[in-house]
Amino acid sequence: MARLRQGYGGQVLFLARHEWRVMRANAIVRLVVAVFGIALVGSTMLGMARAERERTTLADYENRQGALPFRTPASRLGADAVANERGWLAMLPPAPLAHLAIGQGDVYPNYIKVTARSLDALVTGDQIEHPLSVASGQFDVAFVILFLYPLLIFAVSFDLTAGERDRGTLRMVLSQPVTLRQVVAGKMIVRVALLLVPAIVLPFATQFAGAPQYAAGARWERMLLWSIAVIAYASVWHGLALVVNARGLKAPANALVLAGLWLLFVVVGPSAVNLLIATRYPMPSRVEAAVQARAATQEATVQGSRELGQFLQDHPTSGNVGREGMRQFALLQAQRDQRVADRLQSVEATFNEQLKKQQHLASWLSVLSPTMIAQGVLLDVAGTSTYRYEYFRHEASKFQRQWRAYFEPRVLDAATITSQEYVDAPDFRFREEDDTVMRDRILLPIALLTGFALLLWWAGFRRYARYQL
Amino acid sequence: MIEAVRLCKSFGSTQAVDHVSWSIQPGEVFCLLGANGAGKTTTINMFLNFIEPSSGEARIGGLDVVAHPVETKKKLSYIPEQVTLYPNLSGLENLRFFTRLAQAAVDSDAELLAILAQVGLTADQARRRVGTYSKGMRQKVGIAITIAKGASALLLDEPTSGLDPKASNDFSELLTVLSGRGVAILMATHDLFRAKESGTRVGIMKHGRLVETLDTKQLGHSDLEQIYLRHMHD
Repeated sequence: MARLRQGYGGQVLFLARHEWRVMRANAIVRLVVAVFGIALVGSTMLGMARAERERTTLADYENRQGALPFRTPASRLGADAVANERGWLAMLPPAPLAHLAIGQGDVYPNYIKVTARSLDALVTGDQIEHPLSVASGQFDVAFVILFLYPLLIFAVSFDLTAGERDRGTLRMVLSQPVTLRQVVAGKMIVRVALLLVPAIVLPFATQFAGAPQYAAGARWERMLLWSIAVIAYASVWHGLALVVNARGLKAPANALVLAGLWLLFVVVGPSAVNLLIATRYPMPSRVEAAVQARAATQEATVQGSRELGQFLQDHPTSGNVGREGMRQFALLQAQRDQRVADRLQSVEATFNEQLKKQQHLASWLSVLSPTMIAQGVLLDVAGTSTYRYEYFRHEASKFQRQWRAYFEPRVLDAATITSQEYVDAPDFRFREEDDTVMRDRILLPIALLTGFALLLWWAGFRRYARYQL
Repeated sequence: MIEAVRLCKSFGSTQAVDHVSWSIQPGEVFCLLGANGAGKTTTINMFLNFIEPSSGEARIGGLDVVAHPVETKKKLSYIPEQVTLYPNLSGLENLRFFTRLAQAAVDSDAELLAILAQVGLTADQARRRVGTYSKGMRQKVGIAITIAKGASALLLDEPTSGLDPKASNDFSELLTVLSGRGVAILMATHDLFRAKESGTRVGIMKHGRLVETLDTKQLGHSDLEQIYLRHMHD
């Protein structure tokens, strides 16, 4: 036993084990761990229930969509009714780790109605709201990790050595053959493990305990990436705590400084960035967007309806319209729809452009706060970041072109379609974006967090060389 | 062996320790007297490598403590005015922690309890939380650490201040036992009586300098007091 502890590392581990005993006896530490555990398990369970609801809703839509709209196999339906009124719902299944982070899930719709005329216009949804401002108020595992975890790290770390120094125990310890760095390393190991183990294990353990199907193969890699991101993020906060403790202030002063840092990086920083983005690239309000969209639609509709009205005046009864007349009517209708779609698209394009600028600026400014960097990574790994929704929209858009190519000639021909033709029409099955794209995106942010963490740990241990006993 | 070789420490323009030299041999009890701020604690802190000397060397067992901080701490033990242990752990658990940290050969609870018994703590007391201990009991655990660790040098910084006469006497007897085992002891104290009783030599420090070194055998109690006061009035 004694021989095992001869080395430098052996002494550190021995000190860590001792620290673990001392901390275990501390009521505040026990409370912190309990709060963290409850928050992690609770948020995972809520997330799983939410993902399950989403899955059920989509399955329901899927079933309804799968039922053929024809009364009998021989009946026929108007092409316009099938292609535009019925359309096709392009659905986005819940993301691989959606139960861990709501992310943009409450901002972007997880289904889009595709018609031969257009995608369902963006402006009719709730999505024109700045994603950063929306993403901060949800109780999910990502929230617990990003906001609560750093606070709890500080709660167990504000008195790393100050209390023992002031009571005199540290002098007793350092009169033994150990260095202050070994003592600090032992203390840090316990504090990191105390919170990191539950932070990584509990959400995954809860998901497997609650629903074994979560063990499906594809998620392991994402779980690993999620864990790496959590480790990198936590290391930054532990590093900050180390640096503050190394300055040799008293424990209450450390607590105050650390609380200030938490406020700065978790609350003030992201809010300031949001404000800056909103000032630099102001987004028109949603109400204004809806008004613009309605005006655009109305204008195009009025113009189209005038032409259609003229047509109907010229052909007061359907009897004398004939197939040619019907085609002409379909063409006029298609022209009107196209105008509406074009106008909507221009409103939407303005918003998208502004949103792109905001996101670009946000990604640059996020380096100012570890919370913002980690948020981007966690959402991307969970599959609830803007990227996945944009990819879904992109895929839906591709599908819309196929749908339109299939139905438009039939609509313009005022044709009716058979059930077989309907079955042969293209359908939408969402295929996930290649994981390597996501991995490439998160590589730099994770490297950045790791770099910050290493720098802080190095600075902290270096500063401890000058610690006054 | 505890050696000071032209040991100096200055804080800015203040010379806290000024060219102090001595050599404390195994079994010797060297009592360091002096007013508050004379430099006694600073000197002890240099031997513990808590403070780096401005010049000169502090040596334990012939090794410079700055060059060999870990090796020298294997040989020394330290008992401050307040032996601050972990209050939530028992006396035995504290002793076990410090002994293992010192990488001492003593490891079993039976051995540790025997050492605690030697210093006057019963097995029952040894298993009580240190938070409930009196100062005298904590000082005894400090001595127990020294014994268990097998230290050859002991540094004490006013260990008897605040102890009642009986506890103070018990403590002195333990020091005599340690000195009999060949431990070199350096004790900073204000207690002239204790210094005369337990010490083999007495050093008087003033403004960072060792102004006088006396052999206790050749001194009466009143002699020491007079010499000490004379230095303080100068």
